[in-house]
Amino acid sequence: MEKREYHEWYMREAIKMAEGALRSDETPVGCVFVRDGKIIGRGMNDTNKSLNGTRHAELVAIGQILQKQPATIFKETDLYVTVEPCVMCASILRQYGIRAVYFGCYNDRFGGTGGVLTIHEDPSVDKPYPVYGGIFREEAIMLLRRFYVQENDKAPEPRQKKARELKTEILPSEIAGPREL
Amino acid sequence: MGELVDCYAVEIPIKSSNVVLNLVKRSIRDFDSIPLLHLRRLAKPAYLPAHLRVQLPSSDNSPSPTDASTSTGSDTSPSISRSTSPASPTGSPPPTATPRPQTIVLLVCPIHLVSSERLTAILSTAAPFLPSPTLQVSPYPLKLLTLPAPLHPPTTGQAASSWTATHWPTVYKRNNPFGAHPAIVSRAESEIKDVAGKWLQLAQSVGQVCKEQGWGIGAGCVIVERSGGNNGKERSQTPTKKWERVVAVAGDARWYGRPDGTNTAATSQVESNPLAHAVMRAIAMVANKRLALGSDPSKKEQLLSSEPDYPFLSKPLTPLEARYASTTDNLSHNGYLCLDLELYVSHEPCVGCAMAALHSRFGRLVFGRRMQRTGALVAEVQAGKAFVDGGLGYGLFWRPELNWKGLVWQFQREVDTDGSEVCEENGADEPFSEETSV
Ligand SMILES: [Zn+2]
Ligand SMILES: [Zn+2]
Repeated sequence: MEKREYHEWYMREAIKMAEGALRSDETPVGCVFVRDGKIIGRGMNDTNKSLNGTRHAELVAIGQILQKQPATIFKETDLYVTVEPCVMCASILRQYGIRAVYFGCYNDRFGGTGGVLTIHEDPSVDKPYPVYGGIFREEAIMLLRRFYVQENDKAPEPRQKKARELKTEILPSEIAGPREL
Repeated sequence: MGELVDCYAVEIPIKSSNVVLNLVKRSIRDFDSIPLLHLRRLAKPAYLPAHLRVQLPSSDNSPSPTDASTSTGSDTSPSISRSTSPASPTGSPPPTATPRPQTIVLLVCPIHLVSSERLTAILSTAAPFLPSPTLQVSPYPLKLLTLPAPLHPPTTGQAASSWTATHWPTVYKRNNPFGAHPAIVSRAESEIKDVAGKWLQLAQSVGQVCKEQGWGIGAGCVIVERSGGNNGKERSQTPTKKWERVVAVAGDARWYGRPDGTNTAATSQVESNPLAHAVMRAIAMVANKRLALGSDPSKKEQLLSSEPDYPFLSKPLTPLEARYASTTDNLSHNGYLCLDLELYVSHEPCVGCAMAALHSRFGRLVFGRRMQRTGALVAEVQAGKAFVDGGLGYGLFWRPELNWKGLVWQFQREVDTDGSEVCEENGADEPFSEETSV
């Protein structure tokens, strides 16, 4: 991948957002939207606090951006997100015309850009977008593991085993390894 | 093991697995006509029975000096494979020998669906089998395998492991991967069939009111709560009076103006906001209610009916929406997201909204008009149609690989002998473009 350091710089910012999510007991997924080298929006997962299962990092950031900017801005904007966008976010991003998506690790439970489905490039009335995975993949996975361990420590004894099983669920199994950068 | 069916398999570089899978899905007629969901679609060479493994191009032991470690035959670790990026850093000279890529074996389909010549022709157009534009990587050898595979799912975990050793990696699933239990479906149907028409009509009106303001396309949805929930645990013991009530209604408001006064309805067409699709809005309204139920009364008002929160628009925009949104009396306490609630949508929702409904744990969804080019719920694809005209075919509410499933119905009105329903349909506003995502 060209300009790898450039992309890593923004992914580091996304990881900072994910760390913030971890501190507030949210699944640690974070993202930044970048236009002309400038971060125009940041988001972290907010499903637990909002009691809304759709408040993923990407949608939280889009919500923030749209308060100030027109939706047309996404056509010139790239997304950096620590975990592959889910099927929902992958579709919403496509409907906004996002330029490209860079992500850390795959999401094999409901990934929408290669982990489970390929919403970014399937036949659709909306323009497809390219995705690039694997930037700081290990860091993204470590954050998720820390989250599940943290949740396990809070859970009462009998639930421990069940909760512990969760921790590998996010890891790619059938489709292993990010696509080439 | 029962009946066997001969299937094709092909080894491909792991990074091309989605590309190749999508290609064969698109190119082979009736690809999914025999659901082999108990067989791994993609399997690492290491997990194949030895007699299959030796037939793979990757087991050909010609020297590969640059990268012996990715030889997949030796990978016996059951854990996640570590990814090694095969890309060389920009500017470095091309490798002298092509490193062997990590591979995976794709189970294509039963052989009666497509001839081996035709399948070879289809596959040879896929990236991994073509010379790369930079000529830095040589094409991967295309070799079609034929193997007998068990046609029916295993009934025990033991059977699955033994078939994995003798035939093909097989999965045992306790839950039924082919759909909900027929008894669950028929009880659900008997509960919704008399009321679905009423709720869909309300959904349509809700959307219409927003449309008249120039905010949306006229789609709407209704979220309903039913006594006893949908899993029926308590119901058999307590035959009390059954009820159902509307929790929230929302209209599509994708063109609602931004707070700064730009993007008004007049300039709307260029700037559509999918976060304000009807389903997205209604889900957010339920979340607001749950927040309000858990907070002190002084904050309730703020949570339920303050100024519109652009771009989510989770507060009511019309009196009809406010009627249901501005109270918490129409939602049970202690619920989780939209678990046990029912979703009625005037049109088949888009991929984003359908997955939002799954994330919210809806177990039942009824929609009115089929959206042939954008709808995410119908699983069937019309054969012989190009691009998205035949439907997307996602069947998103019952995908074995997703972590939540639900029941879906498309509601079709029975036409009275006097044709009154038909007239009503024709009398409605002209339908919006089929290109539109709902
Ligand atoms: Zn998401
Ligand atoms: Zn939608």
